[in-house]
Amino acid sequence: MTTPRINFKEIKDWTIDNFFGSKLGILLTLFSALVITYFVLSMISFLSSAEWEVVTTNRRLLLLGRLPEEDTWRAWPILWLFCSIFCSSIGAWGNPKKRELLLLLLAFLMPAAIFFTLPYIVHIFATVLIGSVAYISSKIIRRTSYIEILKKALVSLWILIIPLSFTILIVGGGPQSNLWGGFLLNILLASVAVVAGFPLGILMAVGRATKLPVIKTVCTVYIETVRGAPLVGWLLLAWFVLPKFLPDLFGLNDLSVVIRAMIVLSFFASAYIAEVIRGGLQSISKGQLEAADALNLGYIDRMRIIVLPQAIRVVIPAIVSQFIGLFKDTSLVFILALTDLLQVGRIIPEQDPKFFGKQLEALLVVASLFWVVSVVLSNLSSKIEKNLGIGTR
Amino acid sequence: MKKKKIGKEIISAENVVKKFGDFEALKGVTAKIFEKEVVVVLGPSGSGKSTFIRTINRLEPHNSGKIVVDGVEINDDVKNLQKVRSNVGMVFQQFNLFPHLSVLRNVTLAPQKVKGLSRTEANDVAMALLERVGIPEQAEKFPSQLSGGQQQRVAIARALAMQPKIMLFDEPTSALDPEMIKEVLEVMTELAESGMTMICVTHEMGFAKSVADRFLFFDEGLIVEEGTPEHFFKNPKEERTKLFLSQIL
Amino acid sequence: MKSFVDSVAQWSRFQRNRNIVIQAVFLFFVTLLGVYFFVRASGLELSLSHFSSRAGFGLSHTFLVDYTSNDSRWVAYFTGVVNTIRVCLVAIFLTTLLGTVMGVARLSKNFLTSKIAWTYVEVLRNTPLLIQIIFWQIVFLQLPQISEAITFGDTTAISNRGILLPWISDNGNAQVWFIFLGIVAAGSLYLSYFLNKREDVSGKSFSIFGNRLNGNLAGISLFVIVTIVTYFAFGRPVSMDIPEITQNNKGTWMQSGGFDLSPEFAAILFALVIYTGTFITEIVRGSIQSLSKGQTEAAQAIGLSKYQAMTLVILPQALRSIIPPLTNQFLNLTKNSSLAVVIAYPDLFMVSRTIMNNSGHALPVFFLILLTYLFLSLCISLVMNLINRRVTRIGA
Repeated sequence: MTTPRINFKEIKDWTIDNFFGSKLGILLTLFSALVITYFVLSMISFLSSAEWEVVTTNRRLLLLGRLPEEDTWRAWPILWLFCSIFCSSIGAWGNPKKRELLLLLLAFLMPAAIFFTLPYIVHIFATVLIGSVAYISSKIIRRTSYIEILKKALVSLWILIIPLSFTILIVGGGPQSNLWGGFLLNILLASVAVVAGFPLGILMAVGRATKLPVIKTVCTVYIETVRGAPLVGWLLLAWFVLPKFLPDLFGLNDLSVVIRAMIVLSFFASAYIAEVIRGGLQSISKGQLEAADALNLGYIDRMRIIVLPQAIRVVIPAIVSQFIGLFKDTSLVFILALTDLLQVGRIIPEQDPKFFGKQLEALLVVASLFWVVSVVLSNLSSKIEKNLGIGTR
Repeated sequence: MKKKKIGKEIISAENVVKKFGDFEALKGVTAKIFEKEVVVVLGPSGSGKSTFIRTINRLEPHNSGKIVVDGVEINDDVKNLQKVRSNVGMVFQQFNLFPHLSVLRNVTLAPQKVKGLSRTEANDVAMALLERVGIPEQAEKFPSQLSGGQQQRVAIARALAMQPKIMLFDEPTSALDPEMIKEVLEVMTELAESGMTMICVTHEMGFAKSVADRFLFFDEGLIVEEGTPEHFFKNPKEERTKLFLSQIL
Repeated sequence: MKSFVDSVAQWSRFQRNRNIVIQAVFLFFVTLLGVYFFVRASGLELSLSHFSSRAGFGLSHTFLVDYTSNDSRWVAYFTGVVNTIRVCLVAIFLTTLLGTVMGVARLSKNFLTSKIAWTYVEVLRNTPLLIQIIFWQIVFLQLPQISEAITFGDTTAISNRGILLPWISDNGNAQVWFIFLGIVAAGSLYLSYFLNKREDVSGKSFSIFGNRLNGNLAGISLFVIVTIVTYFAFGRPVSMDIPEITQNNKGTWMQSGGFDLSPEFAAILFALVIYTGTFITEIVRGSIQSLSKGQTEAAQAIGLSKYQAMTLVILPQALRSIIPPLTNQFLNLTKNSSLAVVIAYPDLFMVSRTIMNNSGHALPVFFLILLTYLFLSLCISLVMNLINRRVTRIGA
């Protein structure tokens, strides 16, 4: 490696080209510089006067809500489980650059640093360790023939992660579901909604794409009705009406608000996922259908073997985007008086007189948590999109 | 051999350099083109031949060197550039017709908007040109409704509508099916015979042999060899030229 | 008997007959579900008759409607609908503007400008809208108290009670003047159209002192000149309504005059505009980028100027792919405006929730909400489809 020599002419050319190319360019540069200066200055003035005590004293509340102290340990295995599946998936499918891995680590360590307390340093360290081991080992398995088995195992684990998490939360007399809260609640709600909404979404998409008018109409009406009203409206329905419509069996009409929110979110997600999958179905070329017909496959086999696998492949990035949208939307459960991350962030400055007026600090931390998850996922989705574009079938 | 009067110098390029980042696409090209001359530019892909003709109407601004077209130097001056561009017509490999405009409107757009012709005047000019390229009946259709060969002929008519002194052709037949190449080449041959100054990047050697006055052979950003078609086909000097010709003939 | 089985077997061999059976079975189950819901709902109040009774709650924002708590729930609901429409219309207009500017800025050659647009999208698109609404509410409430309001030379006053902007007030015959101006506007539009058409057909254009007079410019000039002249001719029909902050003799601060942008309205407006703007930025950028480079090159090669290339070749094509996703964003914006409930801006959703709580009859109110949002969505889709049809009309 030679040290790159600085080429002053090139720097000059680049500078002129990018900043002072024309009259308009100079004007834009000045204006942009003004805007940037303003934002940087107001950030500095905010950060220099900010006090983070409101966040540090309430970090447990922010992350886990009112989950009792003796149940805190349950959060860690869930995180580890998720972390190991996530990291080994990256190892099994992805080709991340070093820079991207580093960013991913930072993305995890940033919230970890905000919520860092001494007893948990072992746990955080363990999380990083588990992630790295999972990543490296699946990288190694990738060179062997066992990789196909690993991939299949990972796909099943992704589906099983929700029931597994619930088991961890409930096993051995866990806390009641209405005590789940904070960031944990946001993640649980979004994951359950997408995983549970997915099968219904597929059915609805296929139904809307059939030529049978009755089925088509019913599915279309379902999708458009659900998409027609805002999510807060549907959540309100869960609050007022849902219990009255569930049968009296197994105490179904006495569900906790968290579970009701999950049900509504799942139905809500299914309508949006259906539209995404419909887009994927439309992208299947006519040739594929004709080939399937020529092989004399029946309708169900044609859908199951030929069409859906291709369609779902195409729409994976869009479904990740839906997940991001839904994840952001889980903050709307405030309307059900659930204490999710945002709600906790709104309450804590009002709990103690010494925190009055510190709403922006709390809000900023809440926002950055949502932001980190969304950004990591949206980068992932664009990565998958790129891979699919050049990928082999 | 046909005899044609070749006029005075109309394009001169001196030491033209074009860089794309670190890659030097043109490494100092010097060439002169004369009025009514038909010049065919040859060379392997990536040799800089397309880049060269694109610097002539500044679709690619050159980094150094000097290009003068019809007495006007090409530089950042916008007024000069527009003058040059209305004097230089260009035909692209991918046609680049405007899909939202009808065939007629594609041809009349520039005369109306740049030259300020009235609609009837522009329509007359356009219909005459569509007649010339052999598709007057397609005037009201849209580009997507035409075959590739027809689209390329519309593109030629569109370029001619500004009554240019020079026509640039950037691989005009490379995106066409074999049966359509012929119809486009016929139009180009007719144009060459009418005395238009033309610079063509093409691999159609039959066409090149019959209409070209001069060949320029490009390799690695430089003109390696130039001369008449006879010179090229009978005794090319350079090894690289020989190799290239043996591959495409 | 055997022949019956045979004929059924024969009948069922045809796809058309099978389709009938499949759909009949499907319909049976759907109906069953419907009947179940109906039976369950039979114990609930389903009519909206309670909407005629007295509302009994006050609303902080009543725009165009004279609502008091003595009015019926229908009036309250209608006030909410008007508030929703008001915030959505203003937001749609502003967010389109912001998104377009940012989308073009994102493609700018200027390094700083494109990075600003990039940062804007990356930061704000990935933050929940609800957080942004609350953020703006906090910002507006942290503004100085009214006694220390920030003022800009008596024209604008900013305090935690809202933003007061200068507005116009009627001096008596403003209505006549506005109608007159409407007619002048129509005339100016016609003049622009006429001049543009004339230029298109004949290639000639008016010149004033040797400068070509653009049809659009001529129309605008006509309108501005007539407005100024008639303003005096009508004896100054409107005057500036300048906001005033005063202290009465009890020491209470009062604000009066001007256009009052309340903190709640401003917060929901800012959040909706800025959040939706990030998506529109991406749509605009994507659409312009998706056009092949060849189109710009071809436009340049035939001698069109940069402005002509943009308006005649690039934008008409980009608009085609912008409008459908843009419509989607407008629909999202409308539905998202329901989040105004979190800062107590009385939009249709907040009013309905209050009615649900007060009456205890949630289901019929919910259907009303659903229908209202569907109706609003339909209106937006209709307008956007008209625009879309105009844009995609081949050769437009």
